[in-house]
Amino acid sequence: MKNSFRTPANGTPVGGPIDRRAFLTDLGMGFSGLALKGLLLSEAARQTTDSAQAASSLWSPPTGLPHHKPKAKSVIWLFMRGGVSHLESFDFKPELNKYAGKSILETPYASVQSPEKLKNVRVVVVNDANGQQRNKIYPLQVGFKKYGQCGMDVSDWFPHTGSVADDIAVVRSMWTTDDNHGAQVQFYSGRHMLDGRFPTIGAWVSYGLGSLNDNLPQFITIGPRFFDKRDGHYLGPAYDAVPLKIDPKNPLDYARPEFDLSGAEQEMEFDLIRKLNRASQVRYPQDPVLQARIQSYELAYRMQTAVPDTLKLEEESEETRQLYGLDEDVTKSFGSQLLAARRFVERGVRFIQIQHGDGAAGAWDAHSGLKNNHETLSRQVDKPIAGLIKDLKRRGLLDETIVVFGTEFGRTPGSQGGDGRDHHPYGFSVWMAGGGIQGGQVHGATDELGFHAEEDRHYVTDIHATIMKLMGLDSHRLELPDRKRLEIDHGKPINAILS
Amino acid sequence: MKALRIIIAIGLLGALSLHSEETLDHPAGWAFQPVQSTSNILNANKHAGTGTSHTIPDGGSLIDFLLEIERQKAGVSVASEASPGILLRRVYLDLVGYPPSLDAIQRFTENPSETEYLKIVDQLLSSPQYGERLGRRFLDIWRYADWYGLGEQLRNSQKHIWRWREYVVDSLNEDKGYDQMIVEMLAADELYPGDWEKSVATGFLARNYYLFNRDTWLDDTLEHTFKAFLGLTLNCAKCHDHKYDPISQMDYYRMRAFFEPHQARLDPTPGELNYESDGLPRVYDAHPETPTFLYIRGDTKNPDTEHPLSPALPEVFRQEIEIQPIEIPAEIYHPGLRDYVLETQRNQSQQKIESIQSEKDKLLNEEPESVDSKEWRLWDIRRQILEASQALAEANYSSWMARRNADEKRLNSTNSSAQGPDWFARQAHLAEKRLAYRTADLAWLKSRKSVMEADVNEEENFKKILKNEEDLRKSRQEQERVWTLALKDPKPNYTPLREGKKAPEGPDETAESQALPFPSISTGRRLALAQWMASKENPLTARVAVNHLWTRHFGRPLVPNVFDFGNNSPKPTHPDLLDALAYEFMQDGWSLKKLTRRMVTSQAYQLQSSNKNAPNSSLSNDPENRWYWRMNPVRMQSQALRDSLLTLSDEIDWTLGGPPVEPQKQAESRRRGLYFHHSRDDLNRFQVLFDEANILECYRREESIVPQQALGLVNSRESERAAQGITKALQQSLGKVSDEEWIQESFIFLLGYAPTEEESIICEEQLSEFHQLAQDAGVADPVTRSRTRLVHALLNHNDFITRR
Repeated sequence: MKNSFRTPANGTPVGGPIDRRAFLTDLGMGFSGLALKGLLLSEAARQTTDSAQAASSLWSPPTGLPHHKPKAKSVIWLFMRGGVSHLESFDFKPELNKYAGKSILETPYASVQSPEKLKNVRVVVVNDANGQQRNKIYPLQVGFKKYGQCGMDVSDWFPHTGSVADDIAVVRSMWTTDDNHGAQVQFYSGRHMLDGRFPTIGAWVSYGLGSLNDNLPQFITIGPRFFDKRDGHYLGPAYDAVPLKIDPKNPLDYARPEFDLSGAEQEMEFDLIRKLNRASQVRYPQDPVLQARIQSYELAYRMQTAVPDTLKLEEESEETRQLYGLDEDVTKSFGSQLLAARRFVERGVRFIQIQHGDGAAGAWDAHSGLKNNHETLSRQVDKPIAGLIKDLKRRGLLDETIVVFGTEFGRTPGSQGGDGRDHHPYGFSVWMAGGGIQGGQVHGATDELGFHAEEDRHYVTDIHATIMKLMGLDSHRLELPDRKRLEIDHGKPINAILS
Repeated sequence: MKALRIIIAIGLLGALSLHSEETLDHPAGWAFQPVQSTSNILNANKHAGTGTSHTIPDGGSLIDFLLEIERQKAGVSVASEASPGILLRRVYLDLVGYPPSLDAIQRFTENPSETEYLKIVDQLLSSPQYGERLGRRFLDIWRYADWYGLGEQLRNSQKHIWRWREYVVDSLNEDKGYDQMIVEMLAADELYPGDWEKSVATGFLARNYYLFNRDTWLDDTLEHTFKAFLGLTLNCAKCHDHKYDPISQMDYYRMRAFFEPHQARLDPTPGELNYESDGLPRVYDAHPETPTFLYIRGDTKNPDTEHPLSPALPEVFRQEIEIQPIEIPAEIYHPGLRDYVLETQRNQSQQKIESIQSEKDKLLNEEPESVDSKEWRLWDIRRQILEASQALAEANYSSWMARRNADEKRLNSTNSSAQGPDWFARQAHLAEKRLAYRTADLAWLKSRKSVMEADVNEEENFKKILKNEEDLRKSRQEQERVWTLALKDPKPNYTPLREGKKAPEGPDETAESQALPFPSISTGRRLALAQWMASKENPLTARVAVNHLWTRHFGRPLVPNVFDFGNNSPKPTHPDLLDALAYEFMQDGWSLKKLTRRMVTSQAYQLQSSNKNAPNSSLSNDPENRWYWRMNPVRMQSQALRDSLLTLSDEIDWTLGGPPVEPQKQAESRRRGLYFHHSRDDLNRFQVLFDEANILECYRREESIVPQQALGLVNSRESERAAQGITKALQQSLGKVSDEEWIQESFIFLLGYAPTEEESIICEEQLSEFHQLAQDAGVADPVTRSRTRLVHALLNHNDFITRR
């Protein structure tokens, strides 16, 4: 099953009235995504006869098949916690150097502060020291160069990313509404923290598609998480990402016995459990839950081996390890995570989210000492990220893998405390690469100060919509009948960056 | 084991339900229609049938009677009853949350009579573990969450919210009426204005506290109060009129007005005045004057300030609600006046003074001989410091007392004493000045000690220390002057006592504003709302509760969406049954124990869950078991699973109540899962694998099946420890037995049934292989080792984690 697409091209039917359970059983896979919720809802929908409920009666749980032909099968979602300065990474604004030290009102761009333009923001922490307007223009702390055939401006802190400029599409016109780090939650779920908690994009993808390899978790999270440690929410805990450590000895909770037990004993015990559960089919015939339970033990047994095996980074060639920076202290940690991500993608994991930057609010949160902060952190991630893109590409995996580089917001054009920048939700940059994305382009733009997203503005859910589209999913069709989503929750695909 | 307890008169086939299509078509939706009485339902069924009269005995038979009518219509007949072992395990897991002991199983399988079953049900219902078990279920629905914050800063829920958890468990155990619980949880402070202990019930509301945003706090309160008690998605009307239900956007904000005045605080508990250590979380009306405005299109930046809204029910209920302001006694709005607070303060002061005294006594015995030495001077300053500390402790207590007396005279006009409030106020003034002097005195003495101990060679530092001593000496002089002035002419102003700790209304609320007195009047809004919610006229409340309890015992709800009875949700599958149960529930004084008893003693509850040997008609006409012709299996909930492991291995710690077990102590704790710290940041590592209650919303537990659960049960310390404990316990109770007998007993103990021949053979073979393996590895006791492995495998059996 590994690496195969469920498209008509290789014989598996798309769509059609196929029962998810039967489908999964046929393929000997898929119970990692089976939650009772789906069965309950479909039951409820069947019981519905009222015409007012016509819409919900059409509902059925996802089949695990894409709704339309997909361009990609996996997502690697890189998230820089704390807020990367768009001004010192992917959105070059020479005017900041020109007006350095002046107040915004003294520049020709005073209108950026008109209340009408600032009104989107919803404040969580009232009167916080952070998340304020910063009026004194702070010059760029790093130089920029042009990269690739496309001539993309990338800062000197991201030279390796620059070297793959022709593979990535930068979106410079992102905006969000939380001026504090709740924006991390928002970047994942599309909803402001004050609205509550909602499923994250990774949860939607795994809910819609399930796994291609049930020996491994379908949805993995690596690195420090934010305020919200869950993903599935109303979709159910089956769609929470499984937290993983890059440690083959102890990669995930309960991956090996926490007590003295020999391998032979354990194998024998799994065998006994399997035999007994099978034998109880006589007592409980046609019990789908029993079937699923048997399946889940088979998967668990294989997962015990498959996860640590995937993390055997020493199997990779020295050249590959160097490509990700495993040979240098500064890049080793993040590089290992990315190399592991590639190995997971190869084995069919749908969604791998990797958070970089520990600390309560996130390490990139450069309220002061921005230069030192971003210089240090970018060095940790830049080479591994470029290595990942190059490695995926040469293995032919980039065509079916989406790579996202995101952060919760940008940073203010004005200075905070003389050597930092504050939170900036009005305009910031992210980039995407891989399956279905046309690299070597810049889409959207902020104003001359890098303050507001001006051209082709995109709310964070547009990233989600782009992923859904490329993964072959229609988010509207995944909606649960008792959970109405707003149009803005679905977002709009950024078609301009698609190939 | 027991005969079908109702005999339905023949010829009921074709009987029509009272809820025919047209009666269900209440203009507002079925759920807004009054609950039908049982007799009406029975009469309607009789008339619609042949007219044959039939009598229904007491107990669970109402359920069976109504189900049987429907089954006959649907051409479905019931499966066999569950075996005694399965039934006993079922009712234990459902009522107390863990399986029966080997003894209990033996007793019941030897005498599986109806009388015996009823006796067991009543025993379980009266055990304290019943309240723990059902309590956890209600705490799911009522969103129990321990506090979280940053450091000591409270951001969500309340510190010591476990006291509300205790209220819930205790109320269920004493079988307090569900209606009463609702009123208390929303408005105990208004219902019993003179009883501070009762207000802990309002922890239900205090749990919604959110430091950063009042709108979020109130939105959560509205959404979850309505979903939990009324099964209505009021929250849909926040930005616009409800799309499906008769609730306007205006209604939403009128409902908000009921809650607008309330805030959260901690009251002191007996024996403790430090609110970080303990306290009683509750709500109270802080701002009766705050207006409620509709937010245009739900936009909090756009309130319709032209039209302040008063509290009122949605029009669909066609009911005026009468709101009476409630006077709060002084000792309630001023907790410092409570006797137990006085006693606590007195004891603590006394203890402090005594402990200083004993330190002093010890010091006096250690006086150095040479009076001229530096050693003696250091000793002497230590003596002076202890004396000043004692004087300070005394001044502190008398100042507290003087302020309390002054508060009392000021607030309780009925108090008659020779001196008026003014005199007491002056005394308090004087005592405060004395306290300030004593504080400054002690500080100065300590600085003198620092001077004596300092190293004169460290010039810079020594200068600093000298400067500090000088400042403190001056400040002491100043305080002495102020005190002397006060002695001559005490002013009638003083700082009123502040006991009780208000949760800040936002991150920027000042200490002064937080210390303002609590109001002496409560608006009575919440009480009025609560009494309406918990009244028999309310068409929703009893139905929602019945549905929750039904889901719990029958594995599937009567109204499919347990938190939404509105028009966009599927209608009840068994409207007559729902109404009859709701009606009887209210007639029984909203007794949850009686309702539970009615359910678990029904025949429907006692049916087998398997399809095996099921009537063909049932299998073909109702494969989904819509008519409850068999039991629906239920996956053990996260807590029940862990509790069961601990109970079976006889390791469980049955301690009831108290503060939550902190995360770092959970791995070693044998307390029930209910008592684990359960917050946004901390869910128990083992329990979280098995669809742990989501603190944000958990109207129904999920029952997912994922491989991580298998890994948890196979590889965790929890399951292995249980396997070892169970093996030991079985060995003790069985003595030396053959493998065959061991297998037999393990099956019965862990799964509730004896193994089939096939299962026995599988186990015997595997046992000898385990044995061989252990022997080869040189294990000291290969028999125990191999049997432990078998037990461990049975804990991973589908029928272990499943309530059949």
